[in-house]
Amino acid sequence: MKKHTTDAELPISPSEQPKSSTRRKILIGIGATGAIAIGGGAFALRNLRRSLANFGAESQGEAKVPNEVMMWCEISPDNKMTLFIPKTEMGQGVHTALAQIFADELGADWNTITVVQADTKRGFDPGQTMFSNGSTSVMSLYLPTRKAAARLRSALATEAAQMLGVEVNQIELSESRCSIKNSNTSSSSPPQTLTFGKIIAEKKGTWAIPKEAALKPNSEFTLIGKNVPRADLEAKLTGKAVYGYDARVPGMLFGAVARPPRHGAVLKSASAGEAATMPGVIKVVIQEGFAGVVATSRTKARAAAKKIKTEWQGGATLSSADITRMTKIPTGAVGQVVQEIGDTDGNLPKDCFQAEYSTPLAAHAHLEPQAGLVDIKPDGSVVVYASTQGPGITRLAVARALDIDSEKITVIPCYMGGGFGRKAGFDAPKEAAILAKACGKPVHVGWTREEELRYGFYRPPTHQRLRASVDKNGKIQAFEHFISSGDVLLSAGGMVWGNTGAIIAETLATVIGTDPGILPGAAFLYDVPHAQVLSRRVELPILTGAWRGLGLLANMYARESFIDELAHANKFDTIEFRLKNLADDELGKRVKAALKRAAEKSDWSKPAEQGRARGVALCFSAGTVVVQVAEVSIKDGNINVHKVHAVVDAGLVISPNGAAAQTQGAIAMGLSSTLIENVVFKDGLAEASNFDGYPLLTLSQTPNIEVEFIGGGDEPFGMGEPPIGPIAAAIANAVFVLTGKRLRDLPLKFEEKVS
Amino acid sequence: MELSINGKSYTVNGDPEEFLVWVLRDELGLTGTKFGCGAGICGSCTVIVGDSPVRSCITPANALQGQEITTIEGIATTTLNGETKLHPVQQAFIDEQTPQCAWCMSGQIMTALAFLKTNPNPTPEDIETAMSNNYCRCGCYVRIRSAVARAAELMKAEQPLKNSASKTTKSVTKKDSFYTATTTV
Repeated sequence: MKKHTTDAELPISPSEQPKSSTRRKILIGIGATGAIAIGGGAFALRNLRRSLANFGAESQGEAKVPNEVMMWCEISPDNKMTLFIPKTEMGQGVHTALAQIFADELGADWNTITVVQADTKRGFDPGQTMFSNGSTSVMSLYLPTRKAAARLRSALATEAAQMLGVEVNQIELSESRCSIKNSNTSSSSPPQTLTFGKIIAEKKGTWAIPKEAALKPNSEFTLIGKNVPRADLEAKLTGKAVYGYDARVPGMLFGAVARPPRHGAVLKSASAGEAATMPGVIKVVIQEGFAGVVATSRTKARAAAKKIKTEWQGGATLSSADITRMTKIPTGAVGQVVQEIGDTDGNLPKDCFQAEYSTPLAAHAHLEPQAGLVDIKPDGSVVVYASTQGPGITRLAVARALDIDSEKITVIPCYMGGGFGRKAGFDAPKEAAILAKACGKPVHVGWTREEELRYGFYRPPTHQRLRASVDKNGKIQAFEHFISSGDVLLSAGGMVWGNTGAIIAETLATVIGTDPGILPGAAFLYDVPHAQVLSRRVELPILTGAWRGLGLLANMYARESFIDELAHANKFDTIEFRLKNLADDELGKRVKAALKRAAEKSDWSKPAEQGRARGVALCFSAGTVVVQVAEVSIKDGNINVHKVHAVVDAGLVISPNGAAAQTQGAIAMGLSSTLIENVVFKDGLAEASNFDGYPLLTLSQTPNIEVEFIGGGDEPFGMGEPPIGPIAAAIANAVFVLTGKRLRDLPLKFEEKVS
Repeated sequence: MELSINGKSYTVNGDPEEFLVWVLRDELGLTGTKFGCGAGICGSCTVIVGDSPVRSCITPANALQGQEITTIEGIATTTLNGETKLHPVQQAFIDEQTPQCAWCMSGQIMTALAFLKTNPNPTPEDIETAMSNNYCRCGCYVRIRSAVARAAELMKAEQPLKNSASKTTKSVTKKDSFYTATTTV
């Protein structure tokens, strides 16, 4: 397998790009509830609001993809195949997984395939089909990918049958060849087999590709569910792979932008000042709300951008204590009901068991800061190279910055050095576009670490209050989960479409009463007669947005810690308590099976070794069930995590080793949030400007992580985000067993009592 | 200013005090060395100077004149029939299917390579210490551990002459955990 990055020269077929609705675009990162319908009066609205807790929980259905087989692949006469993958690759392995699906259904030889990132001209919808988000890539494209490959397989078989002079049902496809079934290849007989390349090269006339073709039975899978080496690793490990920060074109210059002293402050006025005469400066660009520099090197551009004379207005002035206060659920607050079972208010005693949890602002800290290169051609067409999860929103942002039609712009999505939701943003390509237009040369803007930590958007802070009553038999009778959080998805409206988008988002927020992105994991999984989930949207003067799993980590930290508290308070084993309270429906059975397997794998029934303890937690997200058991110890006040067992039911797993990597990686990232990360604000700006002030988890803090997949079936579920859900609670629950101390705020801080 | 990189001599026309990472990437087009923090903390920009790992984002290029700089582009070799032969450390990271986004991986590999040259027989604790100053945000740490251990084995197998004193060259079997681990990893 080989891999290169672009297919810029391919012709565009704009008519094949379905237009997507504005509403759906606003709800980026959307899962099954993407099709939220608004209207139908008060009753429908009430039901809509009460279903919001399911946001992101269920599997996403099949995506609509233009029905054009040859968008996916090209086959050359020497039987080499190029596969064009619509989804952007940020390390999640989606290029490999989708290639496996296509190649398997087609009967292609894996070793002849080159995987290529499709650009926005290829014909896939840049806004949806190309957008990597919400753990949806494989589950939404599994069937469309197979269907496209099956149609090509059928067309090749028909043509091969004619060429070989047999009936089509006598043709079988494998290893990129069409062969006569049960044929022998004795030397005297006529040819019994043709390569795909030969069939295509020798085909006369036009192809008749059937509108539909039967999919092969799962029992005949040769690549789906098997481990293949990832398509992108050799290029990445030899320095040849092109990421957004690596993009280069002849004559390019480097851009940097003046930044405010406070988050969110707006440029009131600016003049070039000293910047104009600094070495290497080609142009100082000052426009409404923007001041930047184009220079011959990044260092020169950055130095000059700091010397532009600027005056700023507005922006945040608050500090972390203010953020905590604003996020905290006020006494007597009434939340927006987003899930309601039975009559919780009527059945929850005033003096019931309750606890409050909090999670802080966090950074994405993808190691490749965002980057974009904009090349405006003499004919007015534009090529954008960017590290972007969302080629569609990047194209839109550049179109707005240049005030031209989107169709004139080709976005070439480069590899991303991590994304985690932040690269659904598009600041760097937008800034590069403004600077490129102003100076008439291609301009690359790559952000610094300081810019990433201070001027992007963050995972929002949350405050969560849980209340419950449990009967003598350990059955939860009534349960309430109140989630208060900064925005996750509604903020994207303003980011993408400026004031208009912000107004639409605000209107949506008013209609549905909350931000759906707050809610992943919120749907109540346990089988209780009375349960409700409440939500409160906190409007902070700091930009917050999508972060791996959206609200999942925060919500599951609170929910699964509290479930653990209930189990201990009622003197039940915490796994037994969960099993007792899960339903016997299909989902309940999947969760129970995962819990039981995690108990076995972690030797749950036996005590942990001296000085250690185990904790368990679970989640259901993007159709996937995840259970994690963490084993911890504490030394000198530091929480050490020794081992994590993860049992995952993700349905049909396409790439087991890749899915295991996603699980290990999500756990490590979640662990970093659990133990370390907190963006501290002071006077309207993040205090930390680099990793010295915002450290990340290191190898020595990472436990051994064992992953096992159970379940199976015909449908793949999400893998990128679900495994980040349980880890914080699993660790906090283990700390409680070890110390008797319940840690209800992230990052977890254990302070040993000084006697 | 002349710089010797991967055995070749390069003339650098830009600011001689520019940090090496930008000279490599933006002036010479050697973009395999990555920028992550600009403060020498994350390790994404690690290159080898002489035998030592160096953070190229805080090292002025002119400080390295006359020294041999090795980057990720310079460690694989080309066989007589023109094929790329990966360095054992690169091969080990592929064998273990270690990277995800891989932005940090040039730095991880250069750090591991410099480390294994000074310590060809590392204990797991040695690997832990050597590799704990490079961030990986995708969280590939579990597989970085196993990849560095495997790299040590592969490097020893490639250098039978140096090990000939003991007359036992450790054979390296094709590691099969990745290819067989369909359910458990």
